[in-house]
This record gives sequence, structure tokens and C-alpha cells, in this order.
Amino acid sequence: MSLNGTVSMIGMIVFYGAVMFFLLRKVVKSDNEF
Amino acid sequence: MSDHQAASNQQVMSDHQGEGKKGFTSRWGVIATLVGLAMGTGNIWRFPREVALNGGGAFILAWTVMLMLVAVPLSIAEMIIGRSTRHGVPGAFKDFVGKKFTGMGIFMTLTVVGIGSYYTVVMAWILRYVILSVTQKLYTFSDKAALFDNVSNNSWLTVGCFVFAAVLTAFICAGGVGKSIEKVQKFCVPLSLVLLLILIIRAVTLPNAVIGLDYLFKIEPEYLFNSQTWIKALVQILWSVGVGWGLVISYGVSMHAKSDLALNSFIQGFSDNATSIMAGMAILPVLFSMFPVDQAMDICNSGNNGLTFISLAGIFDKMPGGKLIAVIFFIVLFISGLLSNLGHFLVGSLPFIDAGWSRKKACALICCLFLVWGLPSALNIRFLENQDFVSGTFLVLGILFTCFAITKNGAENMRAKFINIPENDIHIGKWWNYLVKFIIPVVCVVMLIWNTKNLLTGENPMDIFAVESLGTLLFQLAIYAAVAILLTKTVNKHTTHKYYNGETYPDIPKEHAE
Repeated sequence: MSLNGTVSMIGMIVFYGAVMFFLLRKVVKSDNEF
Repeated sequence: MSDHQAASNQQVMSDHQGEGKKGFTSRWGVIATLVGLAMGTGNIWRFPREVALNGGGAFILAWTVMLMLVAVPLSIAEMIIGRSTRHGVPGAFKDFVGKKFTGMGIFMTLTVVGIGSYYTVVMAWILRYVILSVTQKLYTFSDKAALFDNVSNNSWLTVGCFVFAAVLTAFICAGGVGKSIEKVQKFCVPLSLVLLLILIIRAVTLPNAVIGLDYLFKIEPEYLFNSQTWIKALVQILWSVGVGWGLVISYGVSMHAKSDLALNSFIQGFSDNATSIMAGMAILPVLFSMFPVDQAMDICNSGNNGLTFISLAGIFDKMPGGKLIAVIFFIVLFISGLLSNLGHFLVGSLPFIDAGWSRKKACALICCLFLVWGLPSALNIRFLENQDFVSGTFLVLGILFTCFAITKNGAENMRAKFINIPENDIHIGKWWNYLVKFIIPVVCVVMLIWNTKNLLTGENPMDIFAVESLGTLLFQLAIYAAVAILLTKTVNKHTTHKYYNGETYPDIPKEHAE
């Protein structure tokens, strides 16, 4: 796999993983209604 | 409005809201439903093709930008409309924008019912492939193109599966949002994610799988500066997340008055994209592992059906563990189709529930409508392709209607009263106003002009019987618009309850509490 592809893959996975983690953490911590 | 009328309306509101407030029963249920709504077949069979053909990582970057610029703001807008009016799309437009504009909501509803009717046919094809892969009869046909031709044209077995898929969706929808749809989504979304993970593990451990991963993630700079990449990324995000259809308006009706609207919208959008990337990781490595690069690219160019029902169906028995993978793949595809189709049914049934029909009766009627409207698509793939083409353009109009609705009520006013309420954890800035008022409408108009320009250069652009032409588009647009105008008075007359007050979210009324 090319360096470009590897870096991009790691970047995308980290970005989407971090955003989903942040959002789901907010869901778990929230006392709000649904 | 006279004092007497106001008092009478107030009475109607309290009568109807008295037994209400159930809707969704858990936050996870809301999230699973929004993920299920967005996680359709578009993620699994359309995204991997588009990403491989349009510069891999460059396409993903453009598509991520489009998610934040277009999909998430539109999802927020739709949630405001649904939750503040507590009506299906036509009634929502009637109360939110004005009686003269009910037709916009009817137009959007017709578009979604049209989509749902042929989407149910696609579910029928997938169901047939589930059966073929479980019984292993799939591998007795050497010519997979002929097999697909047989499945998609004049097959009464496909019609039988079509009826089953429509009745199954109607049955789930008739149970209500909280009692039935939410439960199905809470079970099916995690299940399909686990199955998708199994597919990824199998795909990335195949020999030469890295070539597929390279085509998925490698950023081709020349594509990043190509307008086609951005337009295709926008089309993909609109199809995939499902904004501008009225789906989120319809689910918003059952969301609680104090639920976190912005957080739900972000979760819907980002989980859709994350699922698409997972689907790309499950499919492209398989394709590039089993075929030489040129052939794999040709397959990506052969459309959704060519990729799924011909090429992938033809290689499952050639890869280690492929027969089991085939069963899992088609089951994931069927579940994704079902979860999305529940939304189409909901959009179609809510206007009737608003008019006083029981949910079961409304779902039975929509089921019949889907069967009648979808039957030509079940018998002839050309009809289905025509409906798919027409709906794609009508959805852009749905987005323009949504932006118009927010703009007419004042985007800043909406942001202050309905988005940044104390219960919301995520604060939405003024950027949302500019996106909904200017950027998204301009992008939509540019897309419509680009589309029209492309159609004018085609062969016989005004042929109304062509699968894809300006003529068929304008002809069907005239029919949809005429029906919307004709039904406006009837919908206004029968949608009698008004919950929208322009200040706060009303509680869920009893007719939508199930």
C-alpha cells in the first residue's frame, strides 16, 4: 500500500473514530430527553 | 384569529396532547433509528463505486466537507420542522410556512412514496439473492448477468418477494415509531454493523487486498481540484444521509420536545459516513483482490446492479469462505434496505394519520400504493431506472423547499428558539443561518443547472419515454406538481389540529404517541 494511502487511511479512521467517540460520549453523559 | 377560535384551537391542542408524549422510548432508540435511516443500500453498493472512480481519498475529503456544509445543517432544519409542527410533511409545511405552501410538502411526500415503491423492488431483488445464496443455487448459474436479467425482468417470483417486502415494511411501520420501528432498528443496526465488520475482516485478509484499500483511501490531488468530484460527493451525501426527503421531518414528529436536536443530527450524519467507509473497506479489497485493476474499475463503472448482482455474485464462490460471506453480504444489504424503507413508509403514512386515520389503516393504504406504483418497476428494470433518475432531481427540489421553509420563518429566529435551547449540549453558531439561507440553495440551483445542461446534450433530450431525458423529467414534474396543487385544499381541510406555536416545541400529540 502506498504511503499516501496508508497515511490517508489512518487519518480518516482517526478522524471519524474521534468524532463518533466525542458524539457518543456526549450521548452517554447527557441527562437530556431523547 | 378571534378569541373564540384561539380558545377552541387551544382546546384541540390540549385534547390531543393529553394522552401523548411517548414517541421514542430511549435515546439509543433515536440514534439507532437515525443511523438505520441513513444506513441504506446507498452506503453499501453506491459509495464504494463512487469513491474508487473519483479519486479515493480526495472524494472522501470532498464528501466529508459536504456532510458538514449540507447534510448536517439540513438534518437540523428538518428536525426543527417536524418537531415543532408534529405533523407529516404536508401538514408540517401547512403550519410552518403557510396554507399556500402545503403543496411543497405534498410534492416531497409524493417523491418519497415514489422512491419507496421502487426501493421495495430493490429489496425484492436482494431477497431473491439472499435465498439464492442460502440455498447455494447462486453458484449453479454460470452467467450472472443473465441471472440478474431474469431476476429483474418479468419474474413473478420477484413480484412475490416485492409483495413480501412491502407487507413486512408496512407491518413494522403499523406498530408505531416507539413500539415497533424503534425496536426493529435497535436490533438490526448493531446486527448489521457486526456483520459488516465480519465482511471487512474477510476482505482485508484476502491476497492483494491493499490495492483495494489504496483505491479507497489514496488521495489523488488532481481529483481534489476537479468540480466533478465535488458534485458527485454532494450527490452521494444527499442520497446516503437522506436529507431533503422529509424523512427526518417525519421521525422528528416522534422526538421529545427537549431532546438534543443538534447532537442527533451530527450523529446521523457522521455515523452514515462512518458506515460508508466501512462498506468501502468490505467491498473494494474483495473487488481488487479478485480482478485485475482495469477490470475492477470497469466493474465500478457498471453501476450499482452490475457491481452487486453480477460481479460480486460471480466471485463469492471463488474466494475462501465466500459462500458464507455471500449470505452475510446479502443479509446486510437486505437489513439496510428494510431500515431505510421504514422511513419511506412513515413519510407516506403520517399525512393520513394527521387526517384522523388509524396508523394501521394508513400503513395498509401506503402498502397498496407502493404495490401499485412499484409493480411496473418489479416487472421492468427500465421503469425502475427512470423512476430512480427522476426522483434524484426531485429530491433537490425538496432541499430547496426545506431551506425556503426555514428562511421564511427567519433562520436566526429558528436558531434562537429551536436549536440553541438550554437542553442542547452542542451550540450551533450563525454559520447555520448562512448555510441554510444562501450556500445550500445556491449549491442546489447550480446542481439543477448542471444536470439540465448535461441532459440537453444527450440524444433526444425531450423524449418523455426515455429512461433519462429532460422530457421525462419535465413531464413527471408537471404530473407531481399538478397532483400537489390539486391535493392542497384537501390536505388543508383534513389536517385540522395545529400544534406549531412558533416559540417552543409542543409535546408529542396522542395520534403520534405510539
